[in-house]
Amino acid sequence: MTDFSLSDVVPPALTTDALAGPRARLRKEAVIRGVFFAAALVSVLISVLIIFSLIKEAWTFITQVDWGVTWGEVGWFPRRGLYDVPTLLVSSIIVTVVAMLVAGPLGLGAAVYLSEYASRRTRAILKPVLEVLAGVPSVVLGFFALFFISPNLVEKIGRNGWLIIGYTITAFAVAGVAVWALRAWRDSSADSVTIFKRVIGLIVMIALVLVLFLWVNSVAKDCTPVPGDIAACPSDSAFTVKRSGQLAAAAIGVGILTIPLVASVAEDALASVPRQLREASAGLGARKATTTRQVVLPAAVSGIVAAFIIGISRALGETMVVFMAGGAADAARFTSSPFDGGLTMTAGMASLATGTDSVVGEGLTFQSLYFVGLLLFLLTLVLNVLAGRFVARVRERY
Amino acid sequence: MALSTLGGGDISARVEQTIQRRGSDGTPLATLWTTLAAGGAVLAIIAMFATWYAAARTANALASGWLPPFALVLIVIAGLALVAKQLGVLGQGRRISSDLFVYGVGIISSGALILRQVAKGDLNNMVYVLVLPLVFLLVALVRSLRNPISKPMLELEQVALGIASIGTALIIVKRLIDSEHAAGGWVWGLLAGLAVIIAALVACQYLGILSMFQVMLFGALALSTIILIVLLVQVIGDGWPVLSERLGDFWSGTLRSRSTDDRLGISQGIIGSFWIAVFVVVIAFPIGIAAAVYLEEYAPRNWFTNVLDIVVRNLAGVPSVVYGLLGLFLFVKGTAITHWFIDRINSFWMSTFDSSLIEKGQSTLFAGGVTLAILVLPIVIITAAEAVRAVPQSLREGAFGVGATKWEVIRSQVLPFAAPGILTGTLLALSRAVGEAAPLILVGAITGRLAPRDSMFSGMEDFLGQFADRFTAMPIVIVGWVRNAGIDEGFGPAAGAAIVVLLVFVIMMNSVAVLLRNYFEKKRA
Repeated sequence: MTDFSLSDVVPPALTTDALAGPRARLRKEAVIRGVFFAAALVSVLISVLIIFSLIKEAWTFITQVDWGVTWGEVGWFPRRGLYDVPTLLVSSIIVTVVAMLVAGPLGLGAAVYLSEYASRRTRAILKPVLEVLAGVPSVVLGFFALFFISPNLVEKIGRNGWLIIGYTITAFAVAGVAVWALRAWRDSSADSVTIFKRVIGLIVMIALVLVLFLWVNSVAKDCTPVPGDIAACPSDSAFTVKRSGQLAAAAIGVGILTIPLVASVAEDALASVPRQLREASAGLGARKATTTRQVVLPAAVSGIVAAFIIGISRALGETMVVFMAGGAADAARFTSSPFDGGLTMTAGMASLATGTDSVVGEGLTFQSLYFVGLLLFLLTLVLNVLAGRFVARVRERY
Repeated sequence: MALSTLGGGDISARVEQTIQRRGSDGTPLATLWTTLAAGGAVLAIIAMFATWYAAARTANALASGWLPPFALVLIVIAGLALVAKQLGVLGQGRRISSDLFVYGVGIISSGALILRQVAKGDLNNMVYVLVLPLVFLLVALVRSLRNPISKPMLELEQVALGIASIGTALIIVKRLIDSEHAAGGWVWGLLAGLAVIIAALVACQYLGILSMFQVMLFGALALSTIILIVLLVQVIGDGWPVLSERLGDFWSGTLRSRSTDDRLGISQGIIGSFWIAVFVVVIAFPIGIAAAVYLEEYAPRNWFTNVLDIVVRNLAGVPSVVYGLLGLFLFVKGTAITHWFIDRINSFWMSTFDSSLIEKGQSTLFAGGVTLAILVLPIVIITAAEAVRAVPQSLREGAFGVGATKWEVIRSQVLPFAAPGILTGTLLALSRAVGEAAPLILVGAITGRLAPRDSMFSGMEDFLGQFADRFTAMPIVIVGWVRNAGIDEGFGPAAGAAIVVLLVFVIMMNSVAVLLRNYFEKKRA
């Protein structure tokens, strides 16, 4: 019998040290982890730097400025020491509201169609359109807003806005009365007196519209052109194209830029609504439209709200479109009309900074830039945090 | 009839009634529909009156003759007849004849418009007027052949309306274009819009999109598409004179103060944008991807990771102009700390390369490039993190199982699998950086004249020296020219041409990114 010890058969107990492998390998791991951590810290550093720079310069402005010139002055004239904040704020609000009037319905409509209705083929064709639109640089939209939207859309609406609205409303009112009258005609239960009354009503309505039309046309300032006869419309100031744009034109441009963003966030929200809800609704006999309106949209409502908030935040922060097509150079009078030129917070900053030599100039001009920047930063931060909450709520629920 | 023989006369009567009423009235939607159609017709009438009235007021006959108004009258009658038929005014027993009536009027009116074009010898417009109705007719024919159950008459009626509307729209649009900046143009514009809407509704019915709600949704998407097309057409149209006549010179030219200058061009913008892209690739991509890997692979679940996550997300939402303020603060204006840093970097750089990298108080290419790299960093992190998150856990576990360390797992499994997603994200970030202008404006890119540096590649010093030069970029060139166009109109086409060049790059990058993503999604699905 040979000498036999247990250690010959059973391998030595496996320790964690043995599994870890060579020390150099571990050290390498730690170094790599440190490098990755440092990379992640860069974003914290950037955030700190942004906040530091904004607050440092804005603080100089806040402590040194004569607050009388920041409120109730004629407008934003930083080079003359007039920093009327409401001028920028109101313009920003106008641009944001008009932009969301464009981007909200279009973005949401596109999202609902893509998510609920589109066939695979339609989706394959139309989804890239939104993706291309999302990739269009804002300077391109600025160019488009200035040279297309402004002369072709905004100026025409601006000059004849009330006429257009008036005609449209009257036309549809007349149509409503006509439908109402003709219904009676058809309805076998209606007696002849009712029919007579309604038809008389229709005639009166049409007569009223004609009178209104003649009156409006006699007081309308503009000249209806006659094809081939340019002299019929004298080329006075009303017809010269303003090359500088207006807030409304810029706002529509901003809205177009915001469409894809609203659409993609809203589409994500709609996609997160579970299919069972749709199937249950269909099982109860609801039509597709009913399901969409009364089941899917309410279920995704926080995501849709988030989409709108993110859109608003984006529209507030959009610079170049307003800078190029907003209709103001480097200073702006106070205005509350979208058909005037104006400066939003962002455009005010950009126009102040065209050519840095003037920024690092005298007075508080440079600091005012950071004051406005801080305002903008805080506004968008609040909006983004809010939107994040809404998105999180969708995630939690489903 | 068949139903009544089955018994229950009461029920069959109701069923028949329902069938008759279906789609014509009864539902609020149908009422809305009819009101809409009728409103359109009334609007058309008003518009016609407006034109006639204006013509009478300026004591001028309508220069384009009597046919367009005549055609319009017919179209309006067609519309009204359709409405009347929907309401049943023309009577149940005469359904076919009323169909024929509407159809006939539509054809006559379109025919009148076409005849007018022939008489004027204006072939271009005639082609427009002809092609679309033909397409419509063809579609109707094919459909009625393929599906014998469908009611051809109903379709013909739609065809008539479609022809009429599209014909009207085209004529009106033509008139709008003819009479430039026309004060009364809005009437025509409105009418054209209406006609287009009617045509769109007819088209929607062909596509099988029948409910009003759906039409509205589809309209939103279609409108976005139309906007994109109009935008592209407008930009290309504006830039065409420059692109077609002097593309070579334009490509190699520089910023000039007059638009008539032969040497006006975009070379400086392209060089600037190229270097900015290099900065983004060199700075933002490695840091961004590393940060994403840390967040997804290494980060423990604690408050600090949460903070990191929130910080990255909020950075992505910060307006780009604020990054410009940061760049201005750090590199151009500066504070004691940043000056100290710049001095250190410069002294280090000078000891190696004998040229300064950053100029204090000067907006340099370095400042612009780093600012944009910072701007796209959060985008890179978020997209890369998403790609890393999509890597299946089993891959990691398998690699760990054969004894790989964390870094070996990441290098050999995670990164290769996530590569397509990361690539897509980085391409999107790159195209964003190339198109971004606001931060550069704040950092102080040149919009006016920029002295060209032509000895870029002559030696190491020149090569590095340009990072300390003042700079411009494609979007900045465009902004500068657009603003100059107010004074010197010739800058408009130049800006259009520059936009076309920029768009070609940006859209190309975007589509490569999207195609890549779709390809890998399909491959892995």
